[in-house]
Amino acid sequence: MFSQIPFDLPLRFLPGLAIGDVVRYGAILKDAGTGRILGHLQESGIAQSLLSQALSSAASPLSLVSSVVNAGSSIYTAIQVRQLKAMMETLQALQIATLGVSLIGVGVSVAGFVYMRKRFNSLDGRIDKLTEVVKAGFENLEKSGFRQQMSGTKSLVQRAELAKSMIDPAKEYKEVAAQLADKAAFFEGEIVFEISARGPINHDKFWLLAQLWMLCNSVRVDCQIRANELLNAQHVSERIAGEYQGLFERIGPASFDADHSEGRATVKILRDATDSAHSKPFLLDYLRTRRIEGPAYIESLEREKGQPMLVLPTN
Amino acid sequence: MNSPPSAAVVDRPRKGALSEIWAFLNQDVRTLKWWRRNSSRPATDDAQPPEFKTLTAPLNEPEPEIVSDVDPRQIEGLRFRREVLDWRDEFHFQVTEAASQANKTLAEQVEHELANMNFLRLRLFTKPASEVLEGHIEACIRLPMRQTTQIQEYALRQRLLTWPPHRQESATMRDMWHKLEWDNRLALKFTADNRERILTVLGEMLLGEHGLADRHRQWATQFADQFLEMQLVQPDSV
Repeated sequence: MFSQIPFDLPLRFLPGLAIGDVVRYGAILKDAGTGRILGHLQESGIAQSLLSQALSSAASPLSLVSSVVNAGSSIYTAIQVRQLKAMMETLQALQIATLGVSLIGVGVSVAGFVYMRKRFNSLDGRIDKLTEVVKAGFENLEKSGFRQQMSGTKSLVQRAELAKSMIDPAKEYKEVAAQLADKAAFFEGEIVFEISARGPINHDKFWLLAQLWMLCNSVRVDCQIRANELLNAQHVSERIAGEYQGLFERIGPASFDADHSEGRATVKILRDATDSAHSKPFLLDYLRTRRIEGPAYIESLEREKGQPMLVLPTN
Repeated sequence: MNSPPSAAVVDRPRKGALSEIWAFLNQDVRTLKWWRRNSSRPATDDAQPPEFKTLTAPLNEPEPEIVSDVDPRQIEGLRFRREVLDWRDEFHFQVTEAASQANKTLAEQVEHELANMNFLRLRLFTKPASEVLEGHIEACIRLPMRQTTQIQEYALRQRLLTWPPHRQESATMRDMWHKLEWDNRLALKFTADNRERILTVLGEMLLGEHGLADRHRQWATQFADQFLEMQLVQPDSV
């Protein structure tokens, strides 16, 4: 059920995409002929709810889609299986299946801190496994207070989750966003260190750090939207997109110590995440210029219980 | 309480000279003409508030338009960037895949040759590995690698066809084959004792740092970078 914000369904744009009349860049759908932006893709609260249940089994980009699909019948109800199937079909038609089911998400908001916290927890659980595999590499991380940063980040997500019940939630959201910027800078620094080190990049460690970095950034932007600081959220998004581009473009499928098929899947998702980040400022700009309030936008996404993927048309 | 004199003080009805003197003395010095002329600091405290248009404007007037802060033309540039990066990534993957496959096949050939060589060739009339493996290197490495790069060159041309300003552009890779280097590195005798060393050298030559696959990847990276830099110089080229 759609709210006052006039969302549309991606299904309407799929025929155009198939014949090339419509092209997709990140979360933007645009007219191939005129170049006009037709709409912005966005996952709703139900998408996050569905995916958060299957996250624990998704360890690497190569197995993300299959693990979500395979988890289907065992953990979901019949309705959820149908919703998940429809969502996967849409994501595959849009060629963003891996990004769609990853922790990073497609649209401008993560639509729900509860799910976000689950995502952090699933990453936290993987740290222990990873520590066993790459003990030597993680010694340095532990020294630099990796766990401290991780728990600090989770605590901030919790604060954001509870901010709604405050007298002045906007203030809290802004405070959380500011502190998450520091956390994001930490994870970014670790990634830079990993990439700059001589030799192949440790794939599992890199993928974990990259997810943490991108999650931090997603929550940062989400908080700014909830605080209705749309112009700031837009500028932050532009900066984030630039950072992704600067860092991830240096990496190719053969940059990792893992099999290059795994490397290819990881790089694909990094490219999709960069495109998605580049397209966020356009959606935020649209919300701002159309005077759509940030909290109202997020609320309508969270309220959506029927459609996992939506399009905000720009007519 | 000494409240500041208001404008009403001045406007009171005259009650005679004394009243006028009293009113003059009570007047705020900043309201006098000569003070206003000589004062550099604006008397903001008692200044009349500016008239805001919104207060007098009718309530049903439309709100001013919020100016957009983004340029949708950038999207095409970003899409083209992705196209080039996708080609580069695929080139890296295919070249690495081909080199890995070549390494496996060649290792099998080494084992095969060692297993089928007679005693004299293995112990007395030994030949350098480069000579023994020459045909295999050509068939297992040089040809497949050339084929892979040709496919990727074609793939780039196909991708660029959908971008009108770049339709005519193409990539032709220079020959990455350094025969002298291969001959030098594989100059060691082709014997069972050297088996591990031969395999290590082959692995390094193919997949190691500055190896054949690495050189191919570096070329593709440089080529893609040139394309993307060119696009930065000419942002309207796509």
